Amino acid sequence: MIASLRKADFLLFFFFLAVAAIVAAAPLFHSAGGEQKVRIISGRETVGVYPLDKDTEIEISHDGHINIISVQDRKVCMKYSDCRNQVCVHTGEISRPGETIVCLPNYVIVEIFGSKEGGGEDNAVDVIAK
Amino acid sequence: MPSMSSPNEHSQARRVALTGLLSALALIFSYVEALVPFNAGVPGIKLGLANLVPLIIMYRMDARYAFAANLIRVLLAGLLFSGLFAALYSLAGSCASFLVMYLLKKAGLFSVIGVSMGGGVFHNLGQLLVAILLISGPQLIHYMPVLIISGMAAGITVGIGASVLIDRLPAGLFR
Repeated sequence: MIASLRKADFLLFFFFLAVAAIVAAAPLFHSAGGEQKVRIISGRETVGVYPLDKDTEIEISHDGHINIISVQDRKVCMKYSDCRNQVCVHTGEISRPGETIVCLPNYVIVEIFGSKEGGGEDNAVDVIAK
Repeated sequence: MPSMSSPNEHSQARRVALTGLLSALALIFSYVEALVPFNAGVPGIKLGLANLVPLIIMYRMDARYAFAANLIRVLLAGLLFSGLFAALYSLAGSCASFLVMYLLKKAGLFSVIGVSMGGGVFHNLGQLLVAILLISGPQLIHYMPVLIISGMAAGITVGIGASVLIDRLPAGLFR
């Protein structure tokens, strides 16, 4: 059964790995342009944009669900979430533009963007999302 | 085609009945997976045991029967275990998966394991696409690497099982 593996199987295997690696590495190549900010999206709407360099704690309540996001030392993390799987909390800290924390059950997305390239609140991403 | 007393219609009736039986088997697989909460962190990661069925049918009978069995299983499992909204995800995933498996098999270059791996990956990518369209913007693309890797792992595991079964199941079953 293992002997039935063919060359094309291995090529496909490494192709998938390469695609995964490229997508995973993509945020690292986002240059840190200008001031960096944190955008919080709840449901489909941007509910707030905060500077990355000011320590703060933001509580989001949406549809009876609560998420607490903390900004500290230019790092952002999901401090608390009442969602089932806690993936967002376990994501840990993010600090680079393009990085995100996603809480799928509560529909909360936290992302860092450089204001120079991102263009503030009305950039392309939001236009599409709306 | 060795048909002793059975003309072609007989064989086709057998195959339709067998497709129904195997659809029921696939539904059981879905049920077992729904019973055992296997939470690997990211939603949507699971083994996909039910994919054994379309793979076996595709190789031992015909892609049309495989498609039918898969569709029946997804719709029933969606209605029974996860609700209509989640069934939409399943449907997108399984259609993408089936199409890719069909094409990979048709290409003739891949073993069952490779075909299953491709199916696993595109099952997850199909679901991701629906999530991007329905829930939120393209930020969800960050889930993609995890979903590709988990799809590969699931696809390879199921592919090994399917490979063995495709070799060992008695020929009489698929007359």
